[in-house]
Amino acid sequence: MDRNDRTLDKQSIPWVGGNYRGELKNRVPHGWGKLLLPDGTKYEGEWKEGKPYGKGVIVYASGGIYKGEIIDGKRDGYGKYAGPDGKIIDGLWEKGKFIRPVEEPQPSDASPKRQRARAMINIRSLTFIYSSGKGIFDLNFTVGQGEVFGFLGPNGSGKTTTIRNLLGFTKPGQGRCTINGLDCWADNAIIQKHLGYLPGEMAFFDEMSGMQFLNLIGDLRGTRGNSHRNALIERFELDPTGRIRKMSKGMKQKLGIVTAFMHDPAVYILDEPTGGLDPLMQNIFIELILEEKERGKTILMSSHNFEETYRTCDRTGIIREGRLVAVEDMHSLKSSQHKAYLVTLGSRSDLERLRSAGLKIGRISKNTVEVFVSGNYAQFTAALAKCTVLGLDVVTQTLEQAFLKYYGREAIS
Amino acid sequence: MNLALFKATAKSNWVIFVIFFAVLLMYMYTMISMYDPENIDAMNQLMETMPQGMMDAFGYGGAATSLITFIALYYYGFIAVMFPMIYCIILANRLVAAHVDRGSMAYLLATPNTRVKIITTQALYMALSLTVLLVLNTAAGLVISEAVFPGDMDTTAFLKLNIVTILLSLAISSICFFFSCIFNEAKYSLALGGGIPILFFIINMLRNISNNYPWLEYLTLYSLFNPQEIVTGEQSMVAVYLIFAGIALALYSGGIFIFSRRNLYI
Repeated sequence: MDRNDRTLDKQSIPWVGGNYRGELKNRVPHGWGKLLLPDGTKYEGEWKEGKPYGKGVIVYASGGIYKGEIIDGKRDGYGKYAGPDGKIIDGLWEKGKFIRPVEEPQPSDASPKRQRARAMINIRSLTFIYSSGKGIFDLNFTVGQGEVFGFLGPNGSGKTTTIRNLLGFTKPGQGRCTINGLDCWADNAIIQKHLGYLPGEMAFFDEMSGMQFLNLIGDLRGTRGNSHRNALIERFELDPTGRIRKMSKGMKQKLGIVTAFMHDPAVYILDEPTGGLDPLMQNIFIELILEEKERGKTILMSSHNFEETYRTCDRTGIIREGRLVAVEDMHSLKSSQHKAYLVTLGSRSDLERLRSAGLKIGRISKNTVEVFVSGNYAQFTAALAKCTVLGLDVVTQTLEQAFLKYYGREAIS
Repeated sequence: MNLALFKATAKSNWVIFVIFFAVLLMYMYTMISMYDPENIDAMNQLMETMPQGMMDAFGYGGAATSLITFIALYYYGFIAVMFPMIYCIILANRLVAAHVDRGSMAYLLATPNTRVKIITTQALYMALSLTVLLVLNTAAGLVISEAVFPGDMDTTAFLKLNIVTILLSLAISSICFFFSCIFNEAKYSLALGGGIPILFFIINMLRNISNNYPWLEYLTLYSLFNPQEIVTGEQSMVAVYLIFAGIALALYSGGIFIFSRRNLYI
């Protein structure tokens, strides 16, 4: 099986001599197109300067199929190869050669509903200790495909350290982390093709203009086409003409967001993405996250902003002093969240009426009653209609209250 | 090597290049025009009236008898060594350590390029820009001397002198680059990457003043570079070429190797 693959790997697919149907630029295939070679090999996908480049599918005359990245006509990056015998290997390819199979994707530890999603980000026993003794210790969690995972914790709790390991900036002391089955340290450069990263600290090339910076990163990624990028610039009202050094904090943050999203990657790792943004822009950002989630993107997002976490995340992991102390399912958290209302009544008899309505009553002081409501609003309003209501206040149990218990000193014990 | 990054690096560092080229050019012109073929003895006498210790420190001890020995003595003994060294210290720090210290390296590494590719691009810019700087300086020297004293310059010796200067500067640049690659903070990179070449330079000055400490010769790379001997001497310089090239190659590849494997706190 393996040997057979290697011989097929060496085939390159010169487009000359085949039949090409697709877009041309300067009389050379460029854009999307199909190719049929005389030996029966078919290629369908993207082209650049006369060579298959980008995402594509090769169907060999022998019956084998390759689906994945193609650079300069050769299989490169992450792809699936099915041999003529129908056996499929998910693997890593470099310049047409098969490097190694990608690990079997682990099932995600997401909520049962999402159980079937494969784990795009997989962190297993990840440990990284700084010389100061701080760090992250035996971290375990996964983020499933199409899931938004919030990463909360006090300052210095290890969020950025975890992200450094995911980005391949540091090598795990123990354990490992993978993205799409690829090792974050060893396969770093390949992972970056499909990863959008927003650093927590904004440090750009100060002397460049915003546009020059975006162009540089685009060139470094080898991305073509700027329509997606330009749409993002417009959406966030980013003015990319000025020098980065002179930009305000919010403008720099927008530049970082555009940089992370402009190549339309499959996985996002965002370190405090809304820092410095005004409330309007925070909303636009949250909308963008929700759209990307709809499109099946996987997002890991560290944050201090409960509102943003509440609105976007499927699950939230809370890290404290380098250890994961809890993973909350946001959907069940939302449904279990009950609201308390403070009702001020006109008379004592009204109090009795409310009591007999079968509502959950909390503290009573003078004429003010605390009523807990979770979903049964019809019952609540019907009971209120029978009483003289002098005042009605909402006591919302905020996400802060749900989470702050993990932040305080007592959370460690 | 990544072309897009190379261009961006060149764009953000060309001003430094121009400044150093202008300084080298200015000194080159001043030194050549100070040479007076009719009155070389007067010049040497003038130099002798200067405090001897100071002149020795600058490498000006000795007498010049022709344009090439004059230039070797007064330009290549000091200026052509010191300014490229400062250029290397500044540039090496900007190319790697500053990006890591500031965090902008994160953006470069969050692209589908290996660390080796990114850092090799920076190394290439370093070595190439330094070489171009000194090659341009060589050409300028030839043009100026031809314009001011037609036919007086010993071109072969001048080229030989410049080749050794380029190799020496590449060796020095590799020291700066190596330390720029291995530290997380720009201050350490500057302390060692800048400190070691400057120390070499100071030791060399001390060694020129006094012959009482012959062992100082072994503590500095600059003792291998003797402009007077290069232009007058008959002996082969191959060993010196090889030592400089060897140091440059070893430290550039060492820096790239360590950078590609170490933890980056960005």
